[in-house]
Amino acid sequence: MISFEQVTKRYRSGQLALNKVNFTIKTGEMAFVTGHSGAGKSTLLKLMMLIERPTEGHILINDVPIDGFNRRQIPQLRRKFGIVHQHHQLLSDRTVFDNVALPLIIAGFAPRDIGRRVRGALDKVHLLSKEKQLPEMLSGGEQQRVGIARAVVNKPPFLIADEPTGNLDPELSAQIIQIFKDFNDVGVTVLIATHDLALLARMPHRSLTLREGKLIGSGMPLSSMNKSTITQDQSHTNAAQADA
Amino acid sequence: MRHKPMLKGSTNIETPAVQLSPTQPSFVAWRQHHRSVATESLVRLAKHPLANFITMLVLAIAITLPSSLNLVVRNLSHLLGPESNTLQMSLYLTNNVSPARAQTIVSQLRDWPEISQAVYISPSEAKQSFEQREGFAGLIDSLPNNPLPGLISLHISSRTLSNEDATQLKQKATLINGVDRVMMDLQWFQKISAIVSLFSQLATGLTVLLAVGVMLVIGNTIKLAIDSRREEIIVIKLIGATNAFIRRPFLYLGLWLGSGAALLAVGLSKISEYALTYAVQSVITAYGAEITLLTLGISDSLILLAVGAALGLTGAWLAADHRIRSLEPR
Repeated sequence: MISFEQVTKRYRSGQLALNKVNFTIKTGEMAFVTGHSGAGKSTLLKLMMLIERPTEGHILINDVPIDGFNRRQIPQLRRKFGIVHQHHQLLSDRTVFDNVALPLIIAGFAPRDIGRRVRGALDKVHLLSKEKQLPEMLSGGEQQRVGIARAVVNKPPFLIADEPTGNLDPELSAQIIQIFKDFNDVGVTVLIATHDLALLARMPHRSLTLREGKLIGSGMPLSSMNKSTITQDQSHTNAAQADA
Repeated sequence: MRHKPMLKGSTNIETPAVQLSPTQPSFVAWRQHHRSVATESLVRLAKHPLANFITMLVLAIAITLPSSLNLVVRNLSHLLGPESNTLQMSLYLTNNVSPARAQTIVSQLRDWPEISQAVYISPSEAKQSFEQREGFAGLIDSLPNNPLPGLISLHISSRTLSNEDATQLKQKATLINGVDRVMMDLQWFQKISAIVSLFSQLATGLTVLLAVGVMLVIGNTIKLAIDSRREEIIVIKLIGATNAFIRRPFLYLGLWLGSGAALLAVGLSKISEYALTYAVQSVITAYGAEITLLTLGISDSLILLAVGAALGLTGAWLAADHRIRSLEPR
């Protein structure tokens, strides 16, 4: 569970990136964060992983407030998150296999487990045949999928993606989102920041809408409002809307 | 921090991802990681062989200088200094002392704690040894009687002997019945001690300075290596790498640089030793002395290696710790 309670983030430059934001994403939920660029989407994700710290308010991950974490606690927190970036952030001098293995090596997995888990993750994103290649030999969509494999290889409870479809055409975007849904189906909490409204319109998932640092909406996209899933999601939405 | 997975919100879905707690870092994995990081840093070193060799050579020279000077100091004190037991005292006996009386004095002297060795040389023995010298043969025979006095030669265990102690010892010996004169070259003793201690202080100063220099050079190399892997460090910080994990390959790099430099320094020392031994030996032979030079032994080489490795590790640590902490994802 990820909870933001009255979270404000003001950068040193004076820029107000988030202004008293409240929301809760429940365990096993899949949600989107949307808004124009500069609306505070990236800041929101950075605060969860303590890349930035909130100026005011509290952030709770599984009911534990993380805003008071010290430097030594940060790595443990980040291992709970699988992170997918727009610019996939793969290491160009290492093979696909080695890139995906990184979170496992960092977490101290035994060597025999590493091979098994890496191949499992690559299999899920249909890239098992490319494990020995370098990232630059792959297409944009494939690189993004390697990024996803790396994000999920240590089976983190949370999967966070910042504009994962930013550089991809609609068909590839749909594929990538499908992979996220597959992980969500097995219980991973998924949060995706995107400004791809066309993509959102097709999704029966809650989206948190940010404008100039304020959370202005936290509901289902209009097109899916009349779908049957609404009853299940309504409870999440009501609580969050009340906060906003 | 470790919290229980929260499953309240998700009713019927399977949640293997949440239930699976990550395997605790095992010792096997940790050891394996160290091994692979150690090898990887070596491979990285080998990728720029010339540049890294030159760095190591500079470091090796910086290590060789003080270690060689230390060796010179050890040789000096071995050859000339107080540790060599070269502080001798000669007691010249009066003519009326019989050999038996001389032996009594010798055994009396042996009881003194400062005396490590006492030997009586009778006038006839003194004559013999005198005549063995070139050009002196038959000289004493040409005189009406042997003018050489009996002599007691003393070696003083002078390791802890100060100048005042030496003067007191000399006075005490003069008071022995039958002793005519006491000879001890205190000035020589003092000069040599002063020179040896000067060199030894110089060596200590130089060692400290160059050790700091070695650490700085290694630290700077590590800083450059960290900067060239900036992006990678930020990426792995983002996926939960601890600073210790990120620091590890750079510490190994420092360790390899330091030990490599020390190994080169041992080689350099050995080369200069062979070159110098020949020259020094010919000087020694010319003076007719029988002296063995102290050289860099196996234990010295091992110490040098350990020191090099320690300097490399420390230099790398000081540079890497600060640098890596300052690199944060934005």
